[in-house]
Amino acid sequence: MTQAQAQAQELPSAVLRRRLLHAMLPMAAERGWSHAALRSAALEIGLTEGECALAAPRGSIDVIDAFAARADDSMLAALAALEPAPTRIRERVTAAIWLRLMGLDENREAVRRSLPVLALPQNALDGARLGWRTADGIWRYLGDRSTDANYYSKRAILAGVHAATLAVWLADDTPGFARTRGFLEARIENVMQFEKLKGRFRANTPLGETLAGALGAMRYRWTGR
Amino acid sequence: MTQAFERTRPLLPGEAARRRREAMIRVDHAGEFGAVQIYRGQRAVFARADSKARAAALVTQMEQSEEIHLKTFDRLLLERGVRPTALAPFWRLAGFGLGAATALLGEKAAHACTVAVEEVIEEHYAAQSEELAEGFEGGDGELKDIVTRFRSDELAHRDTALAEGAEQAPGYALLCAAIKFGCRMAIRASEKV
Repeated sequence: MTQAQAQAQELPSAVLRRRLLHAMLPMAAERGWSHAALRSAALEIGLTEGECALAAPRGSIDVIDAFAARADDSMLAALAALEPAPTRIRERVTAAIWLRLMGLDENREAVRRSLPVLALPQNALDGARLGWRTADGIWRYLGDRSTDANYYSKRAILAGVHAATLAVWLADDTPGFARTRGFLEARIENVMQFEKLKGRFRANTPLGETLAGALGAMRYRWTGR
Repeated sequence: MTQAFERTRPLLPGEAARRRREAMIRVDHAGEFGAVQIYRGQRAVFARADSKARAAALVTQMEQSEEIHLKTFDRLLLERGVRPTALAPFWRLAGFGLGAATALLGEKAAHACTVAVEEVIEEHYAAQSEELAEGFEGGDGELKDIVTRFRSDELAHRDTALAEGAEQAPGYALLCAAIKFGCRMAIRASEKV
């Protein structure tokens, strides 16, 4: 957790939002993340209209944001507590996504109901941002050290795998979510194959250097100036 | 990591300064990354030219020094959880291209490129070092020390290039001005993106 996040979590608005989330989850599972559900949840825990606006200025989408953040936090905690801890990076990434879904098990309906809200045009960016944040949290936790384009491609790929697996999980009725598990492992396998291919390309001398070297040799063949 | 409600609430105390520092680290990292690519381009051209062994050795030396700078900013990005520039693939191409093109123009043109680039970076570090002075909001001793130290390295590169006769390159003034303009645009882009 970054310093800024730790600071933001202690804000009064963050405390209120956590309480609001707790009260709203069962309602959201039943009636969806509607404005009416938000109002009922605020009433139930005795928030004034002003406190409710402070906690969730943009309405339900802010509570969904807190829901996703909480799921990310519990995933990282579960990942840290994993015994025995997986060592290979692909196992750790697989475990991360799997643990996030399993942590959401009792709120599966609330997750399902959040999708139509995230699909609204005004919330389209939020959906992408929440997925990015999840992927970012996983890579940071795993100690990823990339500082170039890989920083972005790793997060984008992982966010994609997570979103696709979430969709499969929501429709999965097999015992122990065997179908989701199989799907997740197949997707991770795809990513690994792609990475291997990328590595093979990079192993050769870069084209630019070969070309520049040839041009340089020609350019300075007869003249030293 | 921005959160949705951050857009609808005013900044917390110190938050504006923190974001400014993150932008500084991002742009410095991008700058050192670009510098490494420029010297890599020059080295690639000189490496296979028999008469240019001296120039090849010089740019290799400078490249190594920029590599050390880059590693320092790599560390800062990770330690402070700052996102790197998204333009890295573009700077890789542009930097390598600039280095290779100037080296193909001639040895002196390559050194003229070094003078232009290092002067812009030096000015940039000088401005940052002033902004980061302790006692103001946004003061940051660690970062200030780093940019002050790196600034003198960049000045040394410029002096080496001048001693190698950079100013005798054909069209020196024009070449220098064009490269400086490009570098300043790159700095502005990398702060934000």
